[in-house]
Amino acid sequence: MLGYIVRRLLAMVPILFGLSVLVFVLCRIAPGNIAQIKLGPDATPEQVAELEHEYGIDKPLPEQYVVWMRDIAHFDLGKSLLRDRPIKDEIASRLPVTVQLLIMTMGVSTTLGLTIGAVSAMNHGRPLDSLLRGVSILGMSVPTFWVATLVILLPSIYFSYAPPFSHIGFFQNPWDNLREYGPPALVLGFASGCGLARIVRGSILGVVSQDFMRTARAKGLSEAVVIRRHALGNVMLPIITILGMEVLGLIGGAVIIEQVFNLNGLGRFILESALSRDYPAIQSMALIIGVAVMLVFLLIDLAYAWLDPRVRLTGESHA
Amino acid sequence: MGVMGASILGFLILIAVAAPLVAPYDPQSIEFDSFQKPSLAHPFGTDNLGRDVFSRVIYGARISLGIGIAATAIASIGGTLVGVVSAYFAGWVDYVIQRMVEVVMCLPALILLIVLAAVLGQSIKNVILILGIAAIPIMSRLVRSIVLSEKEQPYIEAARSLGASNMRILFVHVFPSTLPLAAILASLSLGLFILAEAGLSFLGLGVPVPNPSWGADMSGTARTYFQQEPWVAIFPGLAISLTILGANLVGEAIRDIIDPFAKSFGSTGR
Repeated sequence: MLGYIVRRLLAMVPILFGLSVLVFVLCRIAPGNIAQIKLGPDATPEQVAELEHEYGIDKPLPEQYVVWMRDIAHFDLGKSLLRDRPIKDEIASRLPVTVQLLIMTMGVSTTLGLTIGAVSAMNHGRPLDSLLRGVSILGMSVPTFWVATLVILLPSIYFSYAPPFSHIGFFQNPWDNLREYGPPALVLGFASGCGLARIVRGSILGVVSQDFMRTARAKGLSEAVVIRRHALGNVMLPIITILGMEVLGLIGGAVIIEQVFNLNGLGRFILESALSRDYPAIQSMALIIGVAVMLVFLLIDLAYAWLDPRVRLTGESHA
Repeated sequence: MGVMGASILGFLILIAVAAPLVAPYDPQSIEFDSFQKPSLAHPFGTDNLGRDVFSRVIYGARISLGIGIAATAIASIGGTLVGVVSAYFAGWVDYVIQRMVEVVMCLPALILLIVLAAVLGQSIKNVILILGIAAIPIMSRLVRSIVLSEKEQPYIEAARSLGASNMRILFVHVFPSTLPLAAILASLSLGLFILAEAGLSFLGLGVPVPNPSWGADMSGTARTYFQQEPWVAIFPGLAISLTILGANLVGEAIRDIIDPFAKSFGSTGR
């Protein structure tokens, strides 16, 4: 098991390296370099050249890349152009917001997904199943920003209700904190949960119909034992994969939700950086997100290895 | 279910194509009074600039569906090409391509789209390119898994022993074997592309502003006026939902036809 982890970690390194190169190249080939954007269209060539030198972007590209890598090794992510603050500080101040949002959303999503999926599977063929499937497809089809907009709009029009405007920490005022994060988590969690529900349903149905389940029951084992020992493991495998993919989707979804609900999180940070072409910020965020994603992939693979002994032995995720 | 989806989609495509005939007014003309509630003259009301929302929604169908279909085409063709080449020629070609695919797959979809949009700038053409190209890695992965299993089949070996060139094997045998999967993927991703375009435009990174995009119409200045004109927010969103619902239903139906016993295509090779 440990060997598997080490192998996977080592495999991550070249990919991270490739990712950094990709992000770096993308941000540098864009028209309009950082100095020009910062100074605006009225700047004289001398001013631009001076700022270019200060930012170090007058050096050849490979050298810039090396400088960037060296900075990263020292945990220096550079300064945001838009706000003139070190990017590290920006990230630190926004991280709690996004983390709370993601945790709450995952909670809603997994609860909803597992419940709906399981209920749907157990009522296979009956009206309840069709109803839940319809709801799931509907939930997946409706754009989150629309639902989010409605969730904000309608209460304010009809009930004159408004959520708290600025960020309230959980420990200062739990109720307001819930009012602030509850709706976004519910909206995003519902959309995500619907996708999860469909996979859960499919997975359960797929496993339950297999021969080994019949054998287990024929042996006289109680239903609980049958499910726990034989069904659960097999059911969990695709679910875990999808859970991981949903987390990744949530990172993107968080961008939209944070924008609509006016939460000052990392998603919003990326969006604002992209809109203002703040390339140092875009670069750093892309790299960080890439790292986070790889960690998620690693966790998924580890879960697979834990659940499915075939993986540990062969190092492959699919026997 | 599939019939319902197909009819929804068909209806919307019809509207999109016949937009100039169906829409009562020019979507960009600002001649009307602003903030009118929905009425007979303006079924969806007017927005803050005085544009008829109904017309904008209808013309928006053109843009959203057009972009969605174009992006699906790019992603399907590109993804199939890359997947087939990678799987069939194996060896270092496969290794290099797969490493590149993994690097791109490190970034979640929306993040990748945002970064690409920031880099390339906004235009309809760019949106189509971004959406299509961003989906190629995932498509190629799935196609590749099909080709990998087909490659070992006896009929390929038979063809080769009969002297068929690689090119011939590729065109006549390998490509057609990927078509069922490609069809499923294309239909399922149409909905995703439309959603992605709407999302990008909503965030301000998609279709440039004056164009009537469903997503864009729900954002920007519209948001500040939501209290006075909630219908501007509601109708485009309704249109998006309907379209994606249609696309998803069609996708589900196609999947049921081709592969009713599929557990899930959630295994994207991870």
